[in-house]
Amino acid sequence: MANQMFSNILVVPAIAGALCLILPRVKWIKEIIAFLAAAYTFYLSFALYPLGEVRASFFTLNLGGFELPFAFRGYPLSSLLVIFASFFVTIIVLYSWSFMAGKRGLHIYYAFSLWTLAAANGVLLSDNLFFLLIFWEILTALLFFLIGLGGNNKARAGMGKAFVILGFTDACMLLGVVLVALKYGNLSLSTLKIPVSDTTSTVMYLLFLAAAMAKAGAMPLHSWIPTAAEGAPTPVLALLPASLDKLLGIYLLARISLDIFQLNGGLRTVLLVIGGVTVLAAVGMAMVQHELKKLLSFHAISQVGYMVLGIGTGVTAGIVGGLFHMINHAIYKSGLFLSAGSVEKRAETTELDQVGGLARYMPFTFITMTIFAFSISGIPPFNGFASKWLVYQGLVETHQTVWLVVAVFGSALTLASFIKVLASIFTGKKPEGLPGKITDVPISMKIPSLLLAVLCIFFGVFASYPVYKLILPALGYSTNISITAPLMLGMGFYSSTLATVLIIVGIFIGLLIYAILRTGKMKVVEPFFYGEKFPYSYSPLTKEPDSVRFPGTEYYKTVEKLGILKGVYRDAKRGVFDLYNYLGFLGQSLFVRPMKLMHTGVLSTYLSWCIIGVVAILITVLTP
Amino acid sequence: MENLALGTIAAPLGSAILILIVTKWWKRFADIWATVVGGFTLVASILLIGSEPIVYRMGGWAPPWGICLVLDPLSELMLLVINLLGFFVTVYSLSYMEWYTNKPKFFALFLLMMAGMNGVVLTGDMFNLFVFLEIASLASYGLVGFGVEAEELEASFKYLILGSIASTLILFGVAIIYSVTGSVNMADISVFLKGTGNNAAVLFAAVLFLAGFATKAALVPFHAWLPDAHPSAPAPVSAMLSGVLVKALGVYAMARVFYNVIPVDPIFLKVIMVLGVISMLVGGLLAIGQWDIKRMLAYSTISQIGYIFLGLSLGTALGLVGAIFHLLNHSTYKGLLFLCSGSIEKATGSRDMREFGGLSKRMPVTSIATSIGALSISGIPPFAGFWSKLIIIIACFRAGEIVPGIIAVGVAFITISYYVKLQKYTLFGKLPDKLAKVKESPFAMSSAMIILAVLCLALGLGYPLLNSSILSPAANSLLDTTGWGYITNVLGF
Repeated sequence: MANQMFSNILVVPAIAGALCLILPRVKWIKEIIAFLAAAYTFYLSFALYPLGEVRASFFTLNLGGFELPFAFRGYPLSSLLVIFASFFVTIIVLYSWSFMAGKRGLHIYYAFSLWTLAAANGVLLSDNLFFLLIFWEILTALLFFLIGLGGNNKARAGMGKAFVILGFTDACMLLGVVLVALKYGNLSLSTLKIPVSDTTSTVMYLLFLAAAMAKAGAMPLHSWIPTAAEGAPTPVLALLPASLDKLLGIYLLARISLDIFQLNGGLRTVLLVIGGVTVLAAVGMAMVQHELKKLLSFHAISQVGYMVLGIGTGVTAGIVGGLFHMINHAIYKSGLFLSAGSVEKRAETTELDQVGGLARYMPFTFITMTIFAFSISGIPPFNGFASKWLVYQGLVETHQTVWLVVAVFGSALTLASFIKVLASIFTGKKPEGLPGKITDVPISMKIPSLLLAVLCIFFGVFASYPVYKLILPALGYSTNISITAPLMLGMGFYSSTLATVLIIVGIFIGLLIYAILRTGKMKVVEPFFYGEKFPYSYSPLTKEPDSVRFPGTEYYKTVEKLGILKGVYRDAKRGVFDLYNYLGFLGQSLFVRPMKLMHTGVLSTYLSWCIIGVVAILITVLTP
Repeated sequence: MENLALGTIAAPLGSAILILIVTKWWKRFADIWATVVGGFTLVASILLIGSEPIVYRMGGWAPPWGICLVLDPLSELMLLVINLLGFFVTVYSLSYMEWYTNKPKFFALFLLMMAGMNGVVLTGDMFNLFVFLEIASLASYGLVGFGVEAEELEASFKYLILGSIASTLILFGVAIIYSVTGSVNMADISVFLKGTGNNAAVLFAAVLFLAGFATKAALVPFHAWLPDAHPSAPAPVSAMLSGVLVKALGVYAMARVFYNVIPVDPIFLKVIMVLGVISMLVGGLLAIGQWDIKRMLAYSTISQIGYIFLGLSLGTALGLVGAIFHLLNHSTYKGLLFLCSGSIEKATGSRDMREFGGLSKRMPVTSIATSIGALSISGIPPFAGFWSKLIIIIACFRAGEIVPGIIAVGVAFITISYYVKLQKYTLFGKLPDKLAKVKESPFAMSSAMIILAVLCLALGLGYPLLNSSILSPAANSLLDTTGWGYITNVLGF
């Protein structure tokens, strides 16, 4: 029974993916197969979750003296995340129907998306670190090709960087798995318990941590995400860096930090530092981006910081907050990328400077994107607030005041940067460069956004439901609390439903006041532009008022010019903070170039190497 | 069975001459006959898998007096590796070598090289090892310079000089061993040396063997011929050189001599390990810096051969299984990658990756094959390369060699980096305008690439089966606990 269920969840998308690849290129056939397979997996995952703790083992591989059972376990957290993973793949495949229509390599796109789902389910469900590693590496390879589908030279840069960084951390994890296997002779996630006490166990933990961080996109292993965002197809971004990679990376982080390794204070501090720095630095970079997808990708990094902070606190409120934020983030960030895709589809650009005034033409996209933006910015009553609030609770409880301030400040900056996004895309006048006739996206692209937006509201207004019904049970606590009950974890108290009611009342009163006081006559003044006088050349006094555009990106340019930040931003743009560049540069100049210079092609040099080699071996062997 | 084993040497050797004669009148004969002979040796080597050890006595003279051929599980595996790639490369050449003027001569040299390699892995005699090694080497010098352009002749000349020096060292080694033991039969030498132990003369001879075989295998610092010879040769020849020649002449001979002939000495294993680790690192790092697609593959060979020697040097059964498995895998995917590079070179007229881009849009079969080969050699599961590298890494840690183990993991990452570079610059991105009209390779070339690509996956998934049927027996034939297994097989006691 359980065997059947586990194998179906993996095999259905895998086989459907192969079908997409090999079936003749008849219109719609791969789209429909992909959607049905993903939806069926989604359906299957619902059957798995209520079973709770189930196990199944298929065969045992004997490799190098290790007995490696190909075993699966329906750990509650795993089963929960399988539901979400299947859900995201399903809606993104649906979205791709019209978004990707007419693009090259569609059979590869759908096949690899489904294989990604199969491999992700494999990672989530496998009970053996070795097979987890195998699925993990398969995901890396699939991501490489999915980014490459962008077909341009930016995609090429992105795919290379992603594979190199993730390949590096995969190698780290491989080393970790081998070390654990040799030392403990056991690779089962359910029984392995390693106290982190000495150097070896710390190194093992850090090796796994690197893999989790790179996948989730925490600093300093984040830099593949913004580069990939420049070239990859938008649904790929919504699928992997925005949702699945977060689920998997944080899942691994949670399993190693909470189950397998018993962390000490030092490593918790490491997590907090990683989390805090990621929140602030990435949101800072997001502020100054002018390209929507790249901006979103920096937020995808920044938000990981909250999850790492939450898990780093090590207390229930923080951990629950971190995991809740992981799910919320996957929801609103894939929603944001899908909205970006809708804008891209209609406006044919995602440069914030070149779009504007789209609210009138794409009202649906405007509303859903606003909901996602408010969610990510942590505005109550949306879901982002609830999970961030829990993370703050965890930080308060463990007296991490510095990181608390950082986290709250980061949230404020997130809001600031999303105001820019919304203002640039949707308000103001439509610039001339855009296509003449812009309509909202077709229904198959609306449904995914709609579902995600509904989830954002539902998980926000009834925050107790996901926390008490999904996440706490997934961590092994059983609870029995109604969904309108307030969140009471840690020291604080937050009733999401009451907050919602109050907010609605507040808005209503505001509207009332507006309606009453609007009766007076209006005064026309010279426009101010983000607190500064509008540049004269654009002044409405010299031009027709209708011809003036207020680019939403303008104000944020001043952020780049602020004193200390100026140098930092300049360095960041040059890639000074990108480990990938350092690694490449150091490797090239220290090793590769000198060695290339040594290979002159002169035969006598090569001969002398041989002679030196023979003599050296002779000396080694013959000296007693 | 005995005749089948002999046939793998005799058939290509005879056909090499036959082709030269018959093609005076009938040009197509070269194509047909080379394919037939390639097919025959492939079938023969598959049939020989799993057979009991065979000793073929030339003219009925018993060893140690007569010349003998010895077929033990390691030789069976090597025969399979050589003839498997040999056959597919022959098929590929049918179409690829149309580019060059004299196809019959190519096939004659090619079959001569095959005969030499099959001889090397079958012979039970040190002097014949040298003879067959020279046959294979001389044929390969000719094949590297087959294009007779300046670059190719220069590479061939360098290869000739360095290769001849290696052969001379090996011949000196054989002479010294003969003067000490009075025999050139491997088993007989082994019996003698077990009695007397390694004296200084034997050690000296062993160092000469080590240096000679290391040059044939292109271990750093004896590697310098390879990065010139492999890119210059026609693609099928590069595939054979990287895929099997360095292994038959270098890896196999080294393993045979240092495990079965000269009593296993830890100091030699240590030296081999150091050479292997250095080759892994140097080859990998240099590959990153290359823009010539075939030169990158050539440096990659040096790096991967380093892995094989690392596994070999551990002296444990697991290490040997890893090394032999990696040898088998490397022959398939490096052969495949060189064939792909040939297909790309033929389509675009260039080997410089900076001029490529987006070829996956125009050459789907070649790009899929290239990607599979690259993923396999980078060690991405479930492809074959992942398993063999993993076994070598585990074997390192099991044997207590922590630092080589960590370096092996690090080089796995380096391998990923340069194969990412190869794939992204060649297959992905924007298609340059001047390549807008490139065409996919003809059927013969594509089919050879597809089959090798499928093998990359099949070898990975089939590891448990392979391990019990081929790899473990081959490892055991090198490393039996008593040290008498090989001798008993040959001398019968």
